[in-house]
Amino acid sequence: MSNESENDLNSDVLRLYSSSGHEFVLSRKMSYVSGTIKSMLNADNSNFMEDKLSEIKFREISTPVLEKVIQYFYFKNKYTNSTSDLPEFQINEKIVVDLLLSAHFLDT
Amino acid sequence: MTSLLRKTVDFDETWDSIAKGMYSLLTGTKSVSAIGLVEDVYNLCVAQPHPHCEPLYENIKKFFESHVDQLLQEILETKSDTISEYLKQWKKFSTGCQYCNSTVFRYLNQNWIHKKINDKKFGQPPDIHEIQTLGLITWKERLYSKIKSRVLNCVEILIQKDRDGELVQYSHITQFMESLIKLDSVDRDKFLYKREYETAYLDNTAQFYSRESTSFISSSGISAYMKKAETRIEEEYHRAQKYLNQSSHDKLRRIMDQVLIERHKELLQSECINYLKDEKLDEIHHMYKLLSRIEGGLTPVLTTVQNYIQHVGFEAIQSIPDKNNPEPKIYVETLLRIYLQFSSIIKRSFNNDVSFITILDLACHKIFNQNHITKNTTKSPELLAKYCDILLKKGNKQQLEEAELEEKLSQVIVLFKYVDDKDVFQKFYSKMLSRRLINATSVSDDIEKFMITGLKQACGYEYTSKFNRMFTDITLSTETNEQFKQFLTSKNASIGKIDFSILVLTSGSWSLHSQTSSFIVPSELTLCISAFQEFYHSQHQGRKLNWLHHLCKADVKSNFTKRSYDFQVTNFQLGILLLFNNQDTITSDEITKFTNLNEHELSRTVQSLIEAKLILNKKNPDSASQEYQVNTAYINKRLKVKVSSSLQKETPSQTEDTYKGIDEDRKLYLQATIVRIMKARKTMNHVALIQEVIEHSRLRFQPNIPMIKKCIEQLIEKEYIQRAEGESDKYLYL
Repeated sequence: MSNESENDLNSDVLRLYSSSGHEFVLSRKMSYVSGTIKSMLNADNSNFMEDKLSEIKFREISTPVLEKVIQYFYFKNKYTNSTSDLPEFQINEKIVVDLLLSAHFLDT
Repeated sequence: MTSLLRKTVDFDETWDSIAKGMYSLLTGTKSVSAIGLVEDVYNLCVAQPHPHCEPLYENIKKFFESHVDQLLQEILETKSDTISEYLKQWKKFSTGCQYCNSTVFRYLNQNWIHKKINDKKFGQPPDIHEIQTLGLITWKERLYSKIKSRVLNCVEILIQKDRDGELVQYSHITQFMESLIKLDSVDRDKFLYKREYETAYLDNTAQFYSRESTSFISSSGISAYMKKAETRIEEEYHRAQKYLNQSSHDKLRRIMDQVLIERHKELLQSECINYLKDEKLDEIHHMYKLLSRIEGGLTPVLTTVQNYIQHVGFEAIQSIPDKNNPEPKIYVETLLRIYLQFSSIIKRSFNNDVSFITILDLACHKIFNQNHITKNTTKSPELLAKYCDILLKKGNKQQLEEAELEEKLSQVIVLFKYVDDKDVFQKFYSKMLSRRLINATSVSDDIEKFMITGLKQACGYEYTSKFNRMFTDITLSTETNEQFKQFLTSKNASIGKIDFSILVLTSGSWSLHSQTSSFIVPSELTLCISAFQEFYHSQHQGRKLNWLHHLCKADVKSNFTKRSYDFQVTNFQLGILLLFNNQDTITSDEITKFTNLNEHELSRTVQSLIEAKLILNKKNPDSASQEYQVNTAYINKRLKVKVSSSLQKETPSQTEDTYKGIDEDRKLYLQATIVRIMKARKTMNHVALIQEVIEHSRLRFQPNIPMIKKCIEQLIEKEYIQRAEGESDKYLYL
């Protein structure tokens, strides 16, 4: 019983961990922008631990990159299907290459 | 720092962990960490110095194969029944495959496999597949193909049990069917499902039901069979929802129809006539439902029903007494009864099917126009008109409520539609209508108008325009009477102590004969008549008044007996009676001199007065002519006596006249039609002309060809059309 209630509470909350162990908490729905994450979490009856615990540990993605990626999730969700002009999405030059690879990995 | 850059990887080590993960996924044993697998796959694919995609793929393939082989062993060795074991393994495997495909090997799928597939030339079947497809193909080739006969057999047995009515675990069958469909999705043609499962299913169905139906018919008879067939069809339909894919539903339905209904349709059709006779309406309904499922199932039924209706109709008419002069009421009500009886059968048992309504119309048409009584004449419309007259006249023995009356009249209009010679009806109806209006004997104006509206709907405005004009005339006449009275007071003239009112009628609309003899109006009335003529001519110049004395009535008070009576008499009778004011005894010669009635009218009128016991026939042996005397001993219970009614009945000669009039009208109508057609076409040949004429006049009556020919001849004489020179059958319009 308690497990279920925990699951309910956690149902929209997702924790992402970077390679250095930083924990990022965000909404599940937001993270579905990434195809990879979505496939792990969205299957019904899935056998994946990630789904059950609502957490994913990325061994290969660093903290600043992960942070940017999560920002992008929110950015995309906010401005998809909007009629107003898009504000610029700021990206720090230093992390550009890594961000590119991570985006490819995450299918974002 | 991210380490998503390409790096060297140890293939075997990474593959090991991947294999372990795959195994857990496919067997669903324990939860798996997805991210590790995803990262491993990614690393392998982007490895330095060259990616390991291809060996990865090969390994996956081999893994599937060995896994599937193992599963096969498990299925074959299982103690529980094959089908449930098969389904269990299938479920695990297929879900696992899906996870592999969508999550773990997602990267591989999207980047390497799709490229490979697209690189292949178009048209060649791919040999690199998405992981899920790969899994399914492996399953199909290595497991299903080896085990299929056993599994199919199990399923068949289950379906058979289900048909026999035992409880079955039908989720098995549904899941199995779905598994086949999924396996088929890897192929372009739905091989497995269609060829093996569906065909076997349909064949079994056909066999089972043909056996069952034949045995059932021989054991329980047709009516029970029909119910059973319906139930079975329902059952199979539900079963198909569970066990068959949407695409097969139509085929199944057709097979069921064919086996259960088509093969036995003759039996069903032949039973139809018996059901009709016994009035087993429910059985008929069942039979109708079943036969309407197959093509052409109902055609013989339609003919049977039509013949039956005609048979019943003719029989009923045969049973009407007095064939040469039938009572209109009985005749019409018999026809009505038949029509209503069958129309309710059609509604109940045939779902008001349009084709059945059509044949009812055809049958009624025949019954109405070609029955025993009508034969060569057109008695039907005449009798129908007489029936209307009975309904619409006041003084009916059974006073009907207005609603009832309206209903009866609507039914009459229904029958009216079946009459071929509508103009006959029109003639008779207008005659009777005029009589009713003149004598003010109709039940109510509303009812009359109701009837006329009905006729207008059935036949068009032109048909009833005359009737409407008759009504207008009557209304106008009341106004005219008022005006006349005012005229008299204004002129300070008087017409004696006579209460005088007239009806002014337009001669075109009313079908009244003008009188055949001239009648000398009794002196008491001349004043009134001349006054009115003066008045009317002052109002409307250029109109001629024709006095129809044979239709007029008078109320006269008698003083020759102790009590004074009020007599209602016709003008002719009035003329004769007033003569007795001056003399006690009058000879017929004198009557003729004073009234100027012709022989025939005179004897009729005198006869009616004698019958009413108003005058006596005194026998005088000396003179040749008859002598008449007032009956001073006249006694009657009532004070008001109607003597005029005996003269108002229609004699057979009048009917004859009506028919002659109709003939004349028809000839004129035909001539007008011919001229109209010729004017439009200019030239036409004989056969086409006749066809056109028949077409045009069909609404009013059925013309016969000799009549048309005669009319053409007459028109040629009148020089409206002429024969074309040289060609014997062409006509030209002049």
